[in-house]
Amino acid sequence: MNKIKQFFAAFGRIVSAPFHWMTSKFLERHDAVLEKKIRRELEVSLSHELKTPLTSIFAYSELLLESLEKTGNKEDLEAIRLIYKKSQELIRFIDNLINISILEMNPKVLFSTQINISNVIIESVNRFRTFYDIGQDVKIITDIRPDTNVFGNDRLFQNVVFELLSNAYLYSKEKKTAKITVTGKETGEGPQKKYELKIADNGIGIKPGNISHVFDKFFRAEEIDTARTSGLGIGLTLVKRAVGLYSGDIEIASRYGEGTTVTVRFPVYY
Amino acid sequence: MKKILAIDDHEEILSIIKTKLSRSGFEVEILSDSMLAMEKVRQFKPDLVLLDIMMPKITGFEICEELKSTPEFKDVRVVFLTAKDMDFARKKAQELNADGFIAKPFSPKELLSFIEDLIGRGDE
Repeated sequence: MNKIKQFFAAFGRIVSAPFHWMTSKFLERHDAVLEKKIRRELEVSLSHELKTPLTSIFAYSELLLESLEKTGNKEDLEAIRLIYKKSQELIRFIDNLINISILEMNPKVLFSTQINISNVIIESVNRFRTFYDIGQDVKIITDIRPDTNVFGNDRLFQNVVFELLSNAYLYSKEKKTAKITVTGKETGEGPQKKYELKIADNGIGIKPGNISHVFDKFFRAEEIDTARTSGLGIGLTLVKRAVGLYSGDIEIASRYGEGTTVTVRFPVYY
Repeated sequence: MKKILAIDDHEEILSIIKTKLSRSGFEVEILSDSMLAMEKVRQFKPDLVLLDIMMPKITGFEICEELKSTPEFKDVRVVFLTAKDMDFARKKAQELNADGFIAKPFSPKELLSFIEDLIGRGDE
């Protein structure tokens, strides 16, 4: 009797093993998917929650700057200016984190339509100049073919151009001698026609071994002076994902110590 | 003097708005309880309402809808001021005939210039 029981128990184990295996695999996978979803949702809601206190820091520092510019002493003015600048940087990081999470989690929430890429680039260059308070000593040379349309999301594309310009500027050897060239033109013919945006700088460049990693999330190359240039290593990750979403491509050419050229291409919209 | 009513459940945001816009010649009233929005509009008769979207009890979208569908207030300008800077929120604001959408964190300088573009200077 015992042997029969043992036989059926063993038989049961053999028969049910694949089901146990499949169930555990399903649950494992389900847990992993769920965890990923929760983590990304957390990233988005956390980032939104950070925006309200940041608004207070950013906006109050701007109000204080206005008052101190009229009546304050130099040290106080410098301190408030630093708070203002640093809060601006934080806002940029948070916006990038939100955009990456959206691209990873649900890019369908981005409304896409025909956009005038030429205007997007020009607006981004203007925003970039204001954001970094760039004076005349930094050379930004633009040659943008006007009124070309591509398919995309204008705010995301502005973000892409802004990030590329920021990298060109922040990773310059000396900010005062930075030279950035922005070229926008059409390439190819017929259905192969693309809008090509090239952003070239004379900055610190990227070591050959690091070029293949620059799109990795949170990657920061060792040649970066992290004390001088803060960052999360997410700007180019965002750029690559955004470009990929709209069937575009991106290339990076760099000479360490001499400069970097980033080329982005999007299909032209007819 | 042009009148602005700001409605947001965050007191510090209201204080920033009041400081900046009052300094620039606007008459500003602030409100943190969205339930009292319509009552305040009736009493204050603002030229423009600045509205947060995500508020407890009544959302900014609901207030905008009520304003735009009340003949007496249909000309009151409505500008959303929100941390929920998503495309669907912008689209919803357009559908409700809102007059503007500003994302938080916002620059007080930019807020002022946006408002002046819509309704002119405060002391006009």
